[in-house]
Amino acid sequence: MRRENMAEKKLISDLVAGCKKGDNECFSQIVDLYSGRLYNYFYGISGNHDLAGELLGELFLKLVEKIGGYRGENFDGWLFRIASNLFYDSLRKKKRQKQLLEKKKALEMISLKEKPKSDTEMADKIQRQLQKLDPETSELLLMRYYSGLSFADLAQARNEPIGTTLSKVHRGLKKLRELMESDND
Amino acid sequence: MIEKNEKFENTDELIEKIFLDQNIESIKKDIKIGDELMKSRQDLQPPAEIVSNIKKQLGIALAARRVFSWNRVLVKAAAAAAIIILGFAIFTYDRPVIKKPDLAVIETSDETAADLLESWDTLEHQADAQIATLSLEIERLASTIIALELENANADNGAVSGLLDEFELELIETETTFWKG
Repeated sequence: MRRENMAEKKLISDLVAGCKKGDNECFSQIVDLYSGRLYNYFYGISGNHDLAGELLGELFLKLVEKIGGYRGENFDGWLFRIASNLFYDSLRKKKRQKQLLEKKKALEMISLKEKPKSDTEMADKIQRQLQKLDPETSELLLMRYYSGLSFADLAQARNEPIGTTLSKVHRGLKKLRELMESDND
Repeated sequence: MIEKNEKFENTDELIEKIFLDQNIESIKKDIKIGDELMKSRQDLQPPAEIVSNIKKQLGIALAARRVFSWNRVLVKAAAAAAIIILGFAIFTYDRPVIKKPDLAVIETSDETAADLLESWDTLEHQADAQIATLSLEIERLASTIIALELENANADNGAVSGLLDEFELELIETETTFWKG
């Protein structure tokens, strides 16, 4: 397990070194490695496939700009922090928050009418409940899940004490469970 | 794709450290159930078209960055070359030998004019002092000649006549020096 982790770190380190030199192939491999997790992260917080795709594209273009400033910290944490900033920037700049709220309301209406029956529907249901959480909480939960960062790294990426991060995650997960349970009733 | 990392640190231990007097077991349970819920969330793959477009955009961005870098290198090289050429030209430039002071420069430079005036005053004072000294010398010699002529008139002998000639020569020499300045 540890050896796999070391090999993964080495791979990322080599790819990042190549990216710093402007190697197209290394960027391409980074896209292959991270696009899935990041797409899920963006989709999780936005609930919109188009927006998730758009943000994913913006993120990798940002990576070209910012890779020179990467100083060897946890790459996943660094990348997800850029992703998080990008998401909040997009909310501020394009005033999408209103659209997201409208989308949330629409999803809530759908959830009242439909009851999930299969695993897929269960997964969709979680997505809907995530949308009901405030954007910061759902973003935190998704970041923790898809970045795979430890609480310590997560707190560092968010520039807050570890206790604060842990409390927020706890409250967020508890709220998510409550929403799921209330939806079952 | 790198699988999402499920190897979280020992969360229970962390909870025990941070939540000292609170309901630790309840918090542990909330987080555990929440994590399980998140795991049951269906993972999606980004559409292949989107990934392909991203890679194309990256290729364009990287090419543009390379051109920009080359332009920057060229501009820097041109600037460095210009500085070297200019430095070489200045170093090898043959300056004309200036024999006389440039009047235009003297006229436009307050400092040079002041220096010139000061030098002029010094020379004037020196000349005045020399004139005064020579005038006194001439007067002294004239007085001596008159006295000797009177003596010559009273007693004409060769010794006095020779002395007179000597004084006359000295007088001529003094006057010559005076007019030479």
